[in-house]
Amino acid sequence: MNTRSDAKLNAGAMRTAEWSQASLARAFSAPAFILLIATVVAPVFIVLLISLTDYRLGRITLNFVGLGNYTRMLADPFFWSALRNSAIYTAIVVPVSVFGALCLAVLLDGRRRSRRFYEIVYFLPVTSTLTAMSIVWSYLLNGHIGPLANLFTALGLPPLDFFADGTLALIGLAIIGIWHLIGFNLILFLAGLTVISGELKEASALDGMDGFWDRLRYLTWPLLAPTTIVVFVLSCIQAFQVFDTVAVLTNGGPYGATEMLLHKINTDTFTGLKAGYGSALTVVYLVLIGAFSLVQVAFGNRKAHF
Amino acid sequence: MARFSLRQILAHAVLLGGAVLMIYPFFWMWRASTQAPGQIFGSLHDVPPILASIADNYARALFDSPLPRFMLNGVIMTGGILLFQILTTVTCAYALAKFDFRGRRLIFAIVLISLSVPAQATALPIFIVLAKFGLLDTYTGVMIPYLTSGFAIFLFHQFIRSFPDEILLAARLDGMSEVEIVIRIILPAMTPAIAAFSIFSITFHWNDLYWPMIVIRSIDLAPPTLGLLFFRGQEGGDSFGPLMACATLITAPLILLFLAAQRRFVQGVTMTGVK
Repeated sequence: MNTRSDAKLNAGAMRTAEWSQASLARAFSAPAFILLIATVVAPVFIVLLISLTDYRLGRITLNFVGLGNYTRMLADPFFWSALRNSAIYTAIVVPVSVFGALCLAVLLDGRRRSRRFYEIVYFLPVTSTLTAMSIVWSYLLNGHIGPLANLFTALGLPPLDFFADGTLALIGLAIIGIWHLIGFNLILFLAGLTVISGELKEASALDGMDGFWDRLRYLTWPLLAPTTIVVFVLSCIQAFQVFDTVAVLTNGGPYGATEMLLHKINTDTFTGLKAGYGSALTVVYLVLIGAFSLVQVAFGNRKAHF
Repeated sequence: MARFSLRQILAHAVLLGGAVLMIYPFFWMWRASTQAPGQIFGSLHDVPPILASIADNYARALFDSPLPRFMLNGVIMTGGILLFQILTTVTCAYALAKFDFRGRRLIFAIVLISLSVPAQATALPIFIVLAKFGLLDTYTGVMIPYLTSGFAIFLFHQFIRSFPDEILLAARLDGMSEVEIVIRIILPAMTPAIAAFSIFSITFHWNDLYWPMIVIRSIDLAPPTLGLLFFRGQEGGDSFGPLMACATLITAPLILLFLAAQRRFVQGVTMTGVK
C-alpha cells in the first residue's frame, strides 16, 4: 500500500524496497500468525480428529471409532439433558437480559446527569469476578439464611431453597446470569440509541407519539433492530458459555438438573478422562457457537453498537 | 405537567430499583466481611460494621490464607498474558494494515476465524501438549493459549489503518527503520486502543476460572478465582467472614480499576461486542 507512494524512487530500488518490505511485513506478522495456528487453528482440527477416536487422557493408544462418539452422544440421555438445560438457561437469560436492558436503555436515553451514574452501577457486575460473586449469590438466594430467606419469612411464605431444588437451581443460575449480563447489553443498546437518538426525536415529534410503550414498540425498537440482533446473538453466545456459576455453585447438580453443555464437556474430558467423547461434545459446542457467530456476522452492523 | 413528572418519577423508580439489585450483592459481600461469625445472618441490617471483626476477618484472609499469593499469581499471569499479547499483536496489526504482501489475506482470514473460536474448544489439545512438555501446573501453562489475540490484531488493525501514510513515508525518508517506526510512531499513537484492549484482557484473565481450573493443580500457583475455591473448600462453615473478606479483596482491584477508568472500561469490555 505504501509502496505506491514510493513511485518516485526508481524501479529497481522500488522492487528491492517492495521485496524487503514484504519480507519485513511477514516477519512482523509471523509470531502472531504462528501462535494463532498453534493455539487456535491446529487445536480445532485436533479436536475434530480426537472426536473420531476413543482416546482417553493418559492413555497412549488411539483407536479410530468413526462417528462412534457421535452416535453414542445421540443416545446419551445426559448429553440431551445438558443440551436442554443450556437451552432452558439461555431461554430465560437472553430474553430477560435483552428486553430488560432495552427498557432500561430507553429510560436512560434522555437523561443527562444521572446517566453516567446508572451506567457505572449497571456495568459493575459485568466486570466483577463471577467466581467470587457466585459464592455471594449462593447466600443471597439461600432458602434458610440470607436476605431472601428473611424476606420470605417476613411475608409468611415457605422458604425457596434455590440450589437444593432442581428447577429452582437452574432458575437461580439464570438470575445470576441475568445480573451479570444485563449491564453489558444496556451499554450496547445505549450506544445504538445515541446514534439514532436524533432521528427518533424528530419522528416521534411528528407522529405525536407520547406513550412510553408505543414509542418503544413503533419507533425505538424498529430503529434499534440491527443492535437488537447483535445484542441477542451475543447474549446467546454468553449464555451458552455459562460455566463459572455452574462449577462454583452446583457442579451440575442436584441430579444433573443444572448440568450444562460446557460444564459437561469439561467434566467428561478432564475429570472423566473420556477425551474422545468430550471432543465430540466440543465439536457440537463449537458448531453451535459458530452458528451464532455467523448470524451475528450476517446481521451485525458493526457501527450500530460501537 | 403533573403527568410528565409522575412519569419521570416512575422512570427513576425503575432505574433506581434495578440499580439497587445490581449493587446489592457487592454491598452484602462487604457487609458480611465486616461481621463476626454469629452476626452475619439474620440481623444483618441492624449491625453496623464492627472494627474488631473487620480486622479479624481481613487479617485471617490476608495472613492465614495464601490470598496474597493468589493475588500475586493473578498479577503475574494477567500481566504476562497482556505483555505477550501486545508484543505479538501490534507488529502483526501494523503489517496487516500498512503493507501489501503475499499471505496477508491468509493471515487476516485466520485472525477473523479465531474470533469465533471460544477458548474452551481448544482446551484439550493444548492440555495434551502441555502435559507432554511437563508444563501443566506452571505459569507458562496458564499463559500459553493466550500469548496472542486475534481480537487484538483485528482491533489494532482497524486503528492503524486510519493512521496517515504520509507520516510513515516521511519517517522512512528520514531514515527511520520499520522497527523504529513501530516503537516511536505507531505505539504512542495507539495508546487509546491499547488501553481499551488492556482493560478487556485484564478483566477477562483476572476473572477466568475455566482454564486455570484445568491447568493448575497446586494451591501455590492458583490465581485468585481458583484460590478462592480452594479456600472455600479447605475452611469450614465458621470462616464465613474471612471467606467474604477474601472475595472482597479479589473483587476489589477490578472494581477500583473500573471506577478509575469507567469510560475506557466500558469501551474495553463492550469491544467484545465487536468480536
